[in-house]
Amino acid sequence: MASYTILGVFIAYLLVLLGLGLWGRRASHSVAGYYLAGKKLPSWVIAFSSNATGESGWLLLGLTGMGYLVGIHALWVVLGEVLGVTLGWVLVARPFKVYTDRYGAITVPDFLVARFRDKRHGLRFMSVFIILSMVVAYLAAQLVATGKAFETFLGMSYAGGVVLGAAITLFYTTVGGFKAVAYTDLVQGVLMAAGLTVLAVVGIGGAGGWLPLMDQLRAIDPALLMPMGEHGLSTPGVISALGFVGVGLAFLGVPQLLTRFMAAKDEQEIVSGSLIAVICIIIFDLGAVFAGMAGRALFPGLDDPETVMPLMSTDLFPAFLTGIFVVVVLGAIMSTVDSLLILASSAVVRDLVQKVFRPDFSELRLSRYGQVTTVLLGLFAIPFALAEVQVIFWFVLFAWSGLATAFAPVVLCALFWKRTTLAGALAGMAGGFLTTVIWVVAFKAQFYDLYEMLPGFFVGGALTILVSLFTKPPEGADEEFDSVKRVVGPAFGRRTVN
Amino acid sequence: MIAGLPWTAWLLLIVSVGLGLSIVLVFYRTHRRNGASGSSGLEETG
Repeated sequence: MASYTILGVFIAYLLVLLGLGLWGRRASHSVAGYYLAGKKLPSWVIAFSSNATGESGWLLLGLTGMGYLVGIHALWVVLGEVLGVTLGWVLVARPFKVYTDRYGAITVPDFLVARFRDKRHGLRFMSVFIILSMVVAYLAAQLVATGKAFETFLGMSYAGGVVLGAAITLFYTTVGGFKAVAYTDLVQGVLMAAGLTVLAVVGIGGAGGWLPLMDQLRAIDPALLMPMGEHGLSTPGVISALGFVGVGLAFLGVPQLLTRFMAAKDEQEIVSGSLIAVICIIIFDLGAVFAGMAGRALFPGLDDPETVMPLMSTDLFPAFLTGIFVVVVLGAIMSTVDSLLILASSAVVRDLVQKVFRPDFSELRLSRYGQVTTVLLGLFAIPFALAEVQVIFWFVLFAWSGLATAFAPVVLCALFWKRTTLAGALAGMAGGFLTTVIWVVAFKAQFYDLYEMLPGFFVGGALTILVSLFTKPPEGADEEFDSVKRVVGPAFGRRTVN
Repeated sequence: MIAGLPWTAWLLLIVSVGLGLSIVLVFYRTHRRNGASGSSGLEETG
């Protein structure tokens, strides 16, 4: 009976997604329509969509597991993510929107190519390579999480779960394009925020209340209540905290989040969206960490801390609400998968086909190519997921870092330093990305597992600046930079016109 | 110890939430006001 109830809730959710997919179809007959919903999205949609995309299944399963494993020490992730989201919206979003509107940009490589007058498409080719390689890894990991969620909650076979999850996401992403993706993200984001709040409150209540929970955690391990965790104020403790904070750096410039700023209706939607996005990420993160901590008191001794959220949802709630939690977990995963599919598809169709090889193709034809590419990319990732990658969240964090270190330092320099040059951007993009890969392969274990985001971001930024200092900025970029700066104005003061 | 948690843990919690929230509130108030004051909030300075 219980499983029928869960299944019923899941089917209702599925119908909502399919409906949104069909509803978004009308907007997807042009390249800008298919990949950016015609740049007409309101604040609520871009805010929830960017957070739901950024967080993925990692929030529900990974961060709750982290709260379970290290307790209060996981708040360093909250600090990093809240600051990352805040600075992304406050500093990056408006100038990025102004630049991309001026250029008529649809993708992040569009922006970079126009900003640096890259006539040879070097930035475009490098961007496409990095996006495709990281997105396939990211997609495979998310599809693994989908398979496991279907297996755990609905009792399906793992392979069936992967294929069903991919089929649902592929349907609404292919048919409805970015509009369907953004609005399904809104639904999924609201469910994630509500689900995590309820899970944390009921979990703390289940442990007897706040004070009894703290007493139980202290009895299990006093380090669970200490900000620096089991290592204390030592080199490994500081490196662990820095790595956790570093997770948030990606919110300053991964392409799948930057496209949300591009898709906003106007600058005022970004201003309204900023507050919604920050409150939303606070609810997401605190809900996940405190739910995980409550789970540690309620279910001590789990072999795999990342199973604490499914366990709590099946043990503490009636079947109907368990069904909602199934939807929340799947929603978190799908909201990332759909955005990655659209991102990779835009890299192929907009950045390669339309801008390099066949600029003569019609908009309608290119949007159809976009739909076919989306399906092919999804089908390409499925075999990797069926091989069952064991370390889901290691993979997710690696791909998250790979995309961020390649794009964020270059985008930040492009927006805030007029001397940035094409050579600097190429060096920074390649350097940031390669450092992430090399750090994981050769150095990570020797440096207390320092998260690859930090060295990658540092090298990417340093190379962009250093190479730019020895090369010539693009023609006209100086005046353009000043003009954008005047239009955007300061983040915290009144605009002035001279 | 405050409400079962060391004060350092409370400090981390407050900074985690408060820093970003304060920044975005100032940003939001500034730009809503600018947006509402006509002419996109532009101010002539000579």
